[in-house]
Amino acid sequence: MDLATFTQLLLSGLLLGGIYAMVAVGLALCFGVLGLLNLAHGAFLVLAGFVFQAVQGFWPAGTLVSFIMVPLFFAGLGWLAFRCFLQSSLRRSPQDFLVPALLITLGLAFILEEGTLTLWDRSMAGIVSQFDTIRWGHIYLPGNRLVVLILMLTISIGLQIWLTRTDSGRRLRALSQEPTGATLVGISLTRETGIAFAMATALAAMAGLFYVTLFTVSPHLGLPLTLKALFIVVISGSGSLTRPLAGGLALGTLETMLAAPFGAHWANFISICLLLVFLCWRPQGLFISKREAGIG
Amino acid sequence: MFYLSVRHPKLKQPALLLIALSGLILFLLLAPSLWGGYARILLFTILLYVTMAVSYDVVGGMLGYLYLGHGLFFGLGAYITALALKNGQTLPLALLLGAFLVLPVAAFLSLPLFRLQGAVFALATLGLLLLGGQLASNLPDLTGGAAGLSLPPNTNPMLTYSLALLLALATVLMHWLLCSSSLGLQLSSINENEDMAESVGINCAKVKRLALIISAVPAAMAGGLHAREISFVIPAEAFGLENSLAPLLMCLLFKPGTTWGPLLGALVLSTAQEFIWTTVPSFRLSLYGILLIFIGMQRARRSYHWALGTKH
Repeated sequence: MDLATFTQLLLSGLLLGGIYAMVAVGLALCFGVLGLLNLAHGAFLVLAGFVFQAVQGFWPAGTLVSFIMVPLFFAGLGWLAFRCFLQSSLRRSPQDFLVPALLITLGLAFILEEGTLTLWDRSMAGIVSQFDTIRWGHIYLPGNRLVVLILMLTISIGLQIWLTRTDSGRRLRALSQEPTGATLVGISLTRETGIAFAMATALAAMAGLFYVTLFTVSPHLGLPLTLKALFIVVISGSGSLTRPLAGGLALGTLETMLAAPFGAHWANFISICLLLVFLCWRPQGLFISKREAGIG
Repeated sequence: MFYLSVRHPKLKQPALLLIALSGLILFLLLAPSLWGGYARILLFTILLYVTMAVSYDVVGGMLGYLYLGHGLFFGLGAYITALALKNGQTLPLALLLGAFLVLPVAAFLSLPLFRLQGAVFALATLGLLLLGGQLASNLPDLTGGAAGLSLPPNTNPMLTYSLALLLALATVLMHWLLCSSSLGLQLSSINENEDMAESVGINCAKVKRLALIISAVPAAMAGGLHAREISFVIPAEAFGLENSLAPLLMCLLFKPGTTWGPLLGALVLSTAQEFIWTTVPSFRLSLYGILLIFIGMQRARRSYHWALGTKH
């Protein structure tokens, strides 16, 4: 493999990894605060991709507007889903919430998938690129990929700033570190977690927009994608957004690199295998000792 | 066998039950010839669902784990049986081969899987199911890849049907015996408090491994029968998520951990599913979704009441 091919693969890998990272960060946001593993995340992503394509069909000039409006719409949708299905269960039993939440979000994923299938009749969604390809020596970088890369970086940095510098982010971190203490000083668990869930859904929608610009989206994509991102989140352990971000980037790069010699289907197989091995090896998180997690 | 020493379950009227049971078997055996092919297919599907739901209950109900990997063994059984049939084996032999080969797989998988608990266990089993499907489509020389394997036409449908009946009866009987055996008690004590069970001398790892094996074997045989019935195996169907979810829903719908719970769940849900298939086919996944949400919310409420120490 020469250097140009390597660089090309690395760039594509980082793009795929960027999408994994965005999905994983959205999930980590919920996992850190709520201990909620959201299986419906990918279904929201797919639905957003289809909605974006439909909007593009109606109004080709409104790309920028729909890049803002679609995530906002999905934030509302996520908040609604949280209010209807998850909040009552969460308020009753935060500590035993994990397993029921898995069932509830899986059900939600099914309903969303069926909705997507019914509305768009089993098709695929994809967007034709609106930017020119940039050529640099032997390395080609399609313009839309570059735009997506820049946007993804901006969003991740924005999210970090929101978490560390704003009051709302601070409340969220307080809840994830010490739920009882945070509730005692007047932070509303249900309100903040609702906001976190809405933000995570908006992030999923954004990842969906990027996905549909880079690759094609099919209705059945949701669950495998969610599962990979969830594995990344569990392996990274709760309480950090940078670790899932790095994990997502690493997984995407690895998958693209493996796809060159083995083919895409084996690369996918190997990546799921690796994630499962990590998960069984360190169920409490790869970077967290057993003592710290209070298990062993 | 120490583990299966049965503490003679009490029957109130054994003679009456025996008569009712043999009447039911006779009815099920005669039904296809009375009402023709459609009745046979419908009853066959229901019998497979009963097998799947009752065998799921060993891990999902008695042991109380949220287990999403039941479809993996269904798919493995389907593929092994299909390959054996293609190589000229008879159906009973092919089914036994499937069951026999699934044994070491279940025993091996239980080692890493039962290090995990709760939601992470559920995720890992779901990952294994996806992995199974991926493997089946990645090995085109052996399994025919994504296009699948097609078998020669089913020449003796009554044999398939009677074997399904036999399998369902055997699974229900096994579950009923298990409920009152010491192994069953050990499973439910792990369900209630794993640390406590370990401290009173139950070898939790071994018991959980046995549970996984016991639940995997009927699932593999059901998969084999399904492959024979439709004469066609593809990865998307054999390792489909529905093969894990349908038994889960049937088991959790009424009273997991009992024999009648999953049995009744399988009867109700498979009938409902058949009705939906024939009237509004696009509503099938959503029905699963709605039931999952309903069961999840029920569970959250129940654990809340347990934590408070109030019965509901």
